[in-house]
Amino acid sequence: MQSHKTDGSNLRTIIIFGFNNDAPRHDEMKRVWLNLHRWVGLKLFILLSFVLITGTLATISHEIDWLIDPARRVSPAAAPAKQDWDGLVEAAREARPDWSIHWVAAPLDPWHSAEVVGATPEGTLKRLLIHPGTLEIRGERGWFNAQRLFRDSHRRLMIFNVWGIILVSSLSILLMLSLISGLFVYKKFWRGFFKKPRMRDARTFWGDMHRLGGVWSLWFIAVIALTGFWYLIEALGNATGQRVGPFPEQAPPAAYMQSETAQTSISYLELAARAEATLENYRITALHMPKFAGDPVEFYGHSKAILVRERANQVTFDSASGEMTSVTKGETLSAMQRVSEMADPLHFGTFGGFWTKILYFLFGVILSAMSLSGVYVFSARIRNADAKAVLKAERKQFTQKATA
Amino acid sequence: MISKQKTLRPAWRGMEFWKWPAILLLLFCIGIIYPYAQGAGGSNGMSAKLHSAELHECPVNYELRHGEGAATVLGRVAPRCAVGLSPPTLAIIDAHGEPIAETVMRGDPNGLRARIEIPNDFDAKHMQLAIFSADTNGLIDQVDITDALTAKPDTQQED
Repeated sequence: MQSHKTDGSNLRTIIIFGFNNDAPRHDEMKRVWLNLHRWVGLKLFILLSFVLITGTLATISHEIDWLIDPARRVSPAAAPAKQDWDGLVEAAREARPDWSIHWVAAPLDPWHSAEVVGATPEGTLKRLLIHPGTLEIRGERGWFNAQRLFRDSHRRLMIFNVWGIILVSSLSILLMLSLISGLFVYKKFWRGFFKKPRMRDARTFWGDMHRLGGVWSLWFIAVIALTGFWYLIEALGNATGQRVGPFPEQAPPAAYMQSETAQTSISYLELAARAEATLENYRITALHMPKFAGDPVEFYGHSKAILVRERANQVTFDSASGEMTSVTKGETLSAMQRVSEMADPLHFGTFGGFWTKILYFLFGVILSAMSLSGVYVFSARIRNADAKAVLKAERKQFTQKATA
Repeated sequence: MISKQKTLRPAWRGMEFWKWPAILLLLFCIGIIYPYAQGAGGSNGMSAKLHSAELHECPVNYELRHGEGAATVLGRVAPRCAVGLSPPTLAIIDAHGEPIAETVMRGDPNGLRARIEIPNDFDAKHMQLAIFSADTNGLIDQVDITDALTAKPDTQQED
């Protein structure tokens, strides 16, 4: 009977084998990997599964908001060819003159409304949903939505300081250990891509599904674990005051704006056109308004560089004079900055738009199911082994009695 | 027939001590959702440790951020008040009425804003946030911000 002890002795076994001069036998090594795989998958199963499930839902959280909130839905036919940034800002100002507008987000897809995020005089963040074509205000919403729910649950377990991020991102180490140990446990895993799951019983079926899901989502687990590990490094860096940024081009402009007038006549549309002329194939996704004196007007978007956050393609303007103050190009970032900017698109699956998000969602479902099925298989195997042991003992007792 | 409950019992036992901190964390996470949704306050921008005052019949929001070596007071006048207003000077004045830091509120279409940095080792007692006229440089109004300055440093991250 296979040992099903899951206490600290497994870890001790691993350590002992790691320092033993004698080469351990293949099956012993396999057992070590199996124990490690079980240890990782079982001990923190509850936390890991929660993070996996919320992360899976987070990939399509904008779509969930779109589904549950009619104000977010617009007809793709009515979507304008070019965003009317001035119109969106003016519509928001007219509707809520006392708000301080923080940013304006272009529709995520042609079937989404545009979104203006601003702070009320009390400092509470709110959203205005605006039809990008007609500039009609579709609705006013609070900061909280499905996207915030899943993002904050997944990213930090609703612990709103750096420790929440550190806690969740450290699970990436467990995920990576689980991946590596799984490859050692599953003998000749590369043959498993087209293995049909056996329907003998529930345990066998879910065991086969666990392995099948595992081999198909190897790339996905590696991507999620590595980017998650990067977030851990980033969070630890933030906690200790080490940051990757600011980008060289993002250094604050030497001369703060001189104008002291409260109202300016900047045309955001004009600024957007100049930004688009500056970066190749620039598709602006957001306009960030100045928050404080000296802060520039910022445009974020997509350009030539693939797999970077929108902020990596950034053009900023002096909010008073309209003078261009900085240009950040995704393709000119240093290696470290590129890694940093790559993490989000790779982790969220946003790099290819709607369809890569759906792909990530499907693989997220597989990964979450693997976490659940792994625990089920473990439990069922032990339950069956225990039942067999009891049966064997009863048979032995019966035979002894019969002989007597 | 083995019930599902019984089938999962070994896994539950196998999780040992580790399941309890995980369950506690999840309960915390789930428990915070409702107040979070009700408060609906984001952590971006002016929402952390926000204080309000009325200066010259115009609402001013200000918040304090403690940093390395200095505390920053971020002040904002609501956009509707900023329209047509000559940008005044925002200053921190100490108990003796002496300004220890000041800056001109600058304008953009989002309102009038100012950022003032003061050393971390300031004496927070009877500290005032004051607003001075741009035209005459005379004091328009002032408000006591001792409570804000003595509040616990905010470690909340922007997100």
